[in-house]
Amino acid sequence: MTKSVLEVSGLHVALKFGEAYKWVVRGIDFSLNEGEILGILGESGSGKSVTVKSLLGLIPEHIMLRKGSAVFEGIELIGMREEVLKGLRGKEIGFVFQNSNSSMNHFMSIEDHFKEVYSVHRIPYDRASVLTLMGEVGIDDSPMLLQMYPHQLSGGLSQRVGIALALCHRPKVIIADEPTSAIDASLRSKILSLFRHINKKFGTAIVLITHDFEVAREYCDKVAIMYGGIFFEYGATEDVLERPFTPYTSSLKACAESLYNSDKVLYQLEGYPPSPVIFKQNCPFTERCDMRLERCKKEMPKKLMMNERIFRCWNPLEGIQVEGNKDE
Amino acid sequence: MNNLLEVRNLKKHFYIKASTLAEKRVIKAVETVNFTIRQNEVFGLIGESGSGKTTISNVIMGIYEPTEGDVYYKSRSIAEWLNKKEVLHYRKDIQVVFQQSKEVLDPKRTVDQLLKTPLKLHAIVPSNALDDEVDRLLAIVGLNPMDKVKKPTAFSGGQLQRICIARALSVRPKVLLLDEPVSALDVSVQGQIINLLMSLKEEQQLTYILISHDLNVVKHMCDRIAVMKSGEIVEVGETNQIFEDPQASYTQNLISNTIL
Repeated sequence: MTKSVLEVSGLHVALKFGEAYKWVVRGIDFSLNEGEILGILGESGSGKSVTVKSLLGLIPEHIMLRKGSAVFEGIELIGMREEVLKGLRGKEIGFVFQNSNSSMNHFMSIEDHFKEVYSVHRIPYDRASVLTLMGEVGIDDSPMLLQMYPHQLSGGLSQRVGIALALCHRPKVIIADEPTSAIDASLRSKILSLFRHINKKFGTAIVLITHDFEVAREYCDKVAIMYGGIFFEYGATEDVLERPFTPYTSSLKACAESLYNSDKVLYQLEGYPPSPVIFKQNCPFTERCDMRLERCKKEMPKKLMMNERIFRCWNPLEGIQVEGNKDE
Repeated sequence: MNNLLEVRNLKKHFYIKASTLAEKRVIKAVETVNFTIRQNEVFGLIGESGSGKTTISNVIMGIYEPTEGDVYYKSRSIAEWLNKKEVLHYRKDIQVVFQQSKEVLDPKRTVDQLLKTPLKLHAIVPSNALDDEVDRLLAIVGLNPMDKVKKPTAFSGGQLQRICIARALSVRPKVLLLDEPVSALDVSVQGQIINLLMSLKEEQQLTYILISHDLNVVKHMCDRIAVMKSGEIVEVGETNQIFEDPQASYTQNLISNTIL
C-alpha cells in the first residue's frame, strides 16, 4: 500500500496586483505518494510555480492569500507558522530552483552553502556525507568544488549543486521548479535522469514542474495539466498524454508532436494563454477551444472523475457525456 | 543558388582583465569558422551555450569587429559595408529578431511609434503613407492594426514576438537573423510563430540565419545547419543528412542526448 506524503485539496492562491488580489490558482487537488514523480505541466502564467512556492512559504505572506489545504505527512502546511515551516523547508521538503546559480549567495563558497543547510536545522556539519552526496549527483572533483564560488560554476554544475543542497537531509519530497529550463539540451537528460536515480534509490517523491511535454512523458508517473490556474487533467501520465479527455491537453499534444514529426505546416493553436489579471469565472481555455459550448463561456467546468482520472471540461473528448449538456 | 553571405576564416577573440594588475586573458569565442549562406535558405547555427553562435551573429550584424577573417555579403567584405555611406544600406538588408522580445521594445512607446521609427529612418514610404504601412505590417504578422496605439506591456510574449518580426520586416530586409526566436515562447504559441516565419520567408523571398539550441525547431525550419562546439564548427551540411547520419561524435551526442 503506497502512502501519500503530500495531499493538496482545493488549493486557491491569490496574489496582489497593485491594490487588488487576483486568484491565480483556483482550486487544485493532487496527492503525491511515496516514491512517485508527479509532473505539473503548464504554460507560462498557468500558476504552476505559484502553486508549489505558496506551499513552502516562498512567496511573502503580505502579497498572498490562500484557501484550501495541503497536508504533508499529517501536518497542515497552509497557515503554518514561519518558524515551524523553516524546520520543514530544506529538511523534509527540498526545493530545486530553475536557476540554482542565482539562488545561491555569490559571496559564499559552495562549502559555506552546505554548512548553512546544516546550521539552519541545528545539525552538525558533516563534510564526509556532503562529499558522498556530491559523488551521488555526479560531481567528480568534489573537494575542489567545495572551495569554489557560485560564479565559477557552469550551468549544469550549478544545477547539480542545487540538487545536492536540496538532498542534504534526505527529504521525503523534492519540489523541482523547471530544473532543466536554464541549461543546455544535452545536459537536460542527464539532470532528469539524476532525478529519476534519486527517486529510485532513496524513494524520494518528486514534484517536477515543467513546460516541456516530452519531459513529462519521459520522466513522470503522474501528470497534471495546468492552465489558467486549474488542473484540466490529472492522472497517470500514459493515460493522460496518450488519451487526453480535454481539448486543451489534446491540442497541447498536437503542438508538441507536430514539431517533433516536422509536419510541413505545424499544428497551430490560435490565441495566447490568458494572463491571471483577466481570469473570469468560466473555462480559461474557452477562447482558444474549437469544441466550446455556450456553457463554457459562463461556467467554470466541474471536476469530473473517470477511470482514476480527474478532469475539468464541459465538452470532453472520447465520447464522454457530461450531465446537463443535452439541451445544447 | 547564389551565395549571399560568406563567412571566411572568421576568428573572434576577447581580451579580458580581471583587475588592473591581472594578466590579460584571451577568450577564443570563435576560432576559424567557414560557411556560406545561400539565397532564400534557412541556415541553422546550433550548439550549446557558450559555443559562439551569438558571437558569429554579432559579427555579421557588425556589432563586433572580427579579430581575423572576414564576412562577405553580396561578395563585398563587411568592413566595406560598414563605412559611413553604406552602413544604412547594410543595416536595412540584415535585420534581427531576438529571443527576449520584451526587452528589445521600448516600453514607453506605442507600437505605432516603434514601427514608424525604422520606416522614417530608412525612408521606406513617403510620410503620408506611414499609417497605412504600419497597418499593413501588423496585418502581415497577424496582429490587429487597432492595437497599434498600445504599448508593449499590453501584449503577451507571442504577440511581442510578432511585433518584433513586423519591425524587422518594415525595412524590407533580405536576411533575417533569428536569435532563438521561439525559445522564450510557450509550446502552444511556438507553432504559430514558426508557421508565420516560414510563410513570410516564401512571400518575401527572405534568407534566414537561425540560432537555436532546440533541435526540434532546427530540424523543422532549417535547410542546412552548422553544428558548433567551443567556437569551432564541427559539422556543416543538409539538415536531414546531419540528423540521420551525424559524422562528428559531438553531433551524435547532441542528437542522442536530446529528447526528441
